Amino acid sequence: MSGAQLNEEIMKTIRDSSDTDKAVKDFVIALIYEEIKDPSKWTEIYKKKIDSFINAMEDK
Amino acid sequence: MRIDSLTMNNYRQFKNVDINFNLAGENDLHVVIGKNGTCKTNILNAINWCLYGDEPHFSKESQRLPILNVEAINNTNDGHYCSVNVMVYIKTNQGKYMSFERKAKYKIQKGDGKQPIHQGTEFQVEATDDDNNTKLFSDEKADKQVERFVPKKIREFFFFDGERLDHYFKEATAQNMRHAIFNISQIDLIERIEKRMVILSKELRSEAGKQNPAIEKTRESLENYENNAEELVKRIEESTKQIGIAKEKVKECEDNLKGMPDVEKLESERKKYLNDRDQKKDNLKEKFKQKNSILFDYGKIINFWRPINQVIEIIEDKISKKELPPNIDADLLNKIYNSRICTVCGTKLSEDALQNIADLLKTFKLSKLISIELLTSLSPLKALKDKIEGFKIDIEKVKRDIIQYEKDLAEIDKKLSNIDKMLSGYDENKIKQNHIDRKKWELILEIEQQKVGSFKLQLLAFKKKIEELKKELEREIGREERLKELRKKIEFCQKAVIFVEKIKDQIMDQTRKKIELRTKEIFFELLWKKGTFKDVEISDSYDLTLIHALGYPCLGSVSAAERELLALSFTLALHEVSGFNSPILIDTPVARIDEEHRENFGNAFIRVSKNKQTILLFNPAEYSQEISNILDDNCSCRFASKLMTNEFETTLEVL
Amino acid sequence: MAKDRDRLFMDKDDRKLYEKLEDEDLFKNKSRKEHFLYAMAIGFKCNVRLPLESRDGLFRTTDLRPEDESLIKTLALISTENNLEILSNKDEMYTIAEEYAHGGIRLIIDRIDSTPFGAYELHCEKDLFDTFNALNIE
Repeated sequence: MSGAQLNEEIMKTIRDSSDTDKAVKDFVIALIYEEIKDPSKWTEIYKKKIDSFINAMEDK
Repeated sequence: MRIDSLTMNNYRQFKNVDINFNLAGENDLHVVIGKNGTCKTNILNAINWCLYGDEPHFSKESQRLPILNVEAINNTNDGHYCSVNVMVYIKTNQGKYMSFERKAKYKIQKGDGKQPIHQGTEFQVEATDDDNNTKLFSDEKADKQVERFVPKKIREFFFFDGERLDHYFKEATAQNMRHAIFNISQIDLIERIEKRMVILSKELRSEAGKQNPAIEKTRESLENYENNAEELVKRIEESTKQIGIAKEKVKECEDNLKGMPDVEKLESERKKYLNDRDQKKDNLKEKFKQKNSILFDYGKIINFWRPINQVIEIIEDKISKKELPPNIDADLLNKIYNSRICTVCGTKLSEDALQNIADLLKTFKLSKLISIELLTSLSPLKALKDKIEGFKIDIEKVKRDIIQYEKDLAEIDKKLSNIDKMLSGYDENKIKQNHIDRKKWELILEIEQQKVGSFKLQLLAFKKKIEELKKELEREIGREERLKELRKKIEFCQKAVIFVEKIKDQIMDQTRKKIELRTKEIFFELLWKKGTFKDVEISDSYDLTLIHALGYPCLGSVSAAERELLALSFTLALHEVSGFNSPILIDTPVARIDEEHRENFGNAFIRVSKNKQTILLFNPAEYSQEISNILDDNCSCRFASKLMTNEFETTLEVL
Repeated sequence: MAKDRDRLFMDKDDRKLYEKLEDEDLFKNKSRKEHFLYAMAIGFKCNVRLPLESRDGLFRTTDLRPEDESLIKTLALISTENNLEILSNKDEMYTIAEEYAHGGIRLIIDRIDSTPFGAYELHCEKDLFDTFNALNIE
């Protein structure tokens, strides 16, 4: 368990942000969800997330 | 929140010093006049050491000396142990008590140049709830409690050297402001993601990059707990002794006061008001519980008001279309349609009959199960809807009650304060002194009783742990055993970094605007020269501008006193916006202010202390006649340090 | 048909968080079910729905009163864009509730940890008034 928790202000500001790609927003939200698990191997997790988001964008 | 008392045992020059920051009158203002150089600063350090485990305000003189009191070292035999501990007692906004205690143990070595050897440090927090239950916190949990008193990363705005007020808007203003605003915006998580994304972006670019130590451990732990338990027993004894003395003294004072006829009447009134106050406090506590219950219950349902309405509409629509309640079971129809046999008479169905069933199925879309679920939800949903709509009525009623009780309590306090004034206003010095003494001993009694209660609880926990460790030790001894693709990634990372930065800036911007507004309001409220200035602005690049009444920026040309007042206002605004109404402790608060403005600054502190505990640490030269004229009669407590003849020990005297 | 489940779950990691709630005045003397429903409401309000990584029993379904069930059904319907079929799948309804509560409990703890003693209630009160006023109930 990490010390970091979900911050309401941050989540709201991200969701309310209108001039950003949905994919980028979702990507950052996904990273937040990962961060609260306090990933020790964050580099691998971030790389996998980047790959999956880029693949999802291409599939569309 | 306020600091109730500070206890220092064997901490630097303070061998056994208790500072009780008693609130007397309407100003929660406390003055400590430190006669020798390091005394004041070490009070600042003691609080920091207790809460955060470090001493950020060091003088060269202190650095050469061990944290452990020199006299205590001298009195301890070679090879024996000696501890330093600092306790900060606080009272929260709800009147609950908490104590923070840090203790470090040392092994003493005698001989030239030999320093005590640090054996370990413990930090513990105790919290007492409404029902006088005490809870103990240690390790990370204890640190988290400190974060709810004064968070470590913003402590510099609560406990600081007055010099920073002078420097704050002189040098690196924008950096200072940005740093402060960043720290209270709570964006660490997003900052970490940004940093990691930046590292990844860079990476992507460089690609285009003892016998049985377990037993010994348990044994040490057990010994540690046993020593702590022993120490606690001693402290319980000491406090029990103090309770006895205090009780006796209170009685002595009461007896002395009883002989005085007028005093007797006032005394009986005082008792009656004290009882009334206790009763009202209990009632108020109950109302707060009711309010919390309302907040919880509505917090659970209020966000569902729109969805509930939608679902009610769906159900009512189905009822009006006669889809509800179901008179034909869609599941049964499906079964008949699929088997092509009538479940009633067992005959095979014709094509026409099948068509009829298919048509019927189109009409009755809902299965029996879904229909029941919908129908049984209607009434509870309507009840929830009605409840939500009554939120304001419910909450406002309890709030009105709370306000009334608070008013009643303030009224009682006022009456008590008048009685106290009358009692201490008697010509006979003896009566006055008895009254003052009784209050002092009543407070000591309360504190010592609280200490004993918590020590006993602590002892119980230690004993339990000792038993566990003994069993564990027995068991252990008994056992003895990855270039196109890359570009896309870089671009994506960049977009994410930009987005994260944007989010960070937006959040900080909101904080900046709140602080700008409050800094301005506080500055104009505290300012003695009304009409000289017009505005205070914090630009989006975090530059602070003070606007003269004639419209030009004038921060560079104002007096030190005005500049420091602006820094103080900014600091207080930070307190408010961060939500931490914790005490402010300033070492050498007016050292750089000319005599002409000291009186004004003193008055500003008095105003601040009406809503916030303010502890000011002066040196005698700084506590000049001007400041003394203003503060002497307006502060709750004044203390002066006194160096003992052995020169290793400083005590504090109440003035 | 699958047998109805007998309990609602939390993520194993959330146990400590639920325990922590008990230190806060607002959550004192409330059952785990009540804590769960509150967390679910906060998760729903902030639209934070997190799948559980490992399940740990929190309370029994028999503890749910009709109004609690109605809230869970409402949440399930809204989350599936009013697909009434969800009502025939209790397991899925409870899973949705659990996922919102999983997000919600973390939001609550973050807020508690970052507010001074006694200020969490003030924050909740302000939030409730803001939410209520935004509903424009006459």
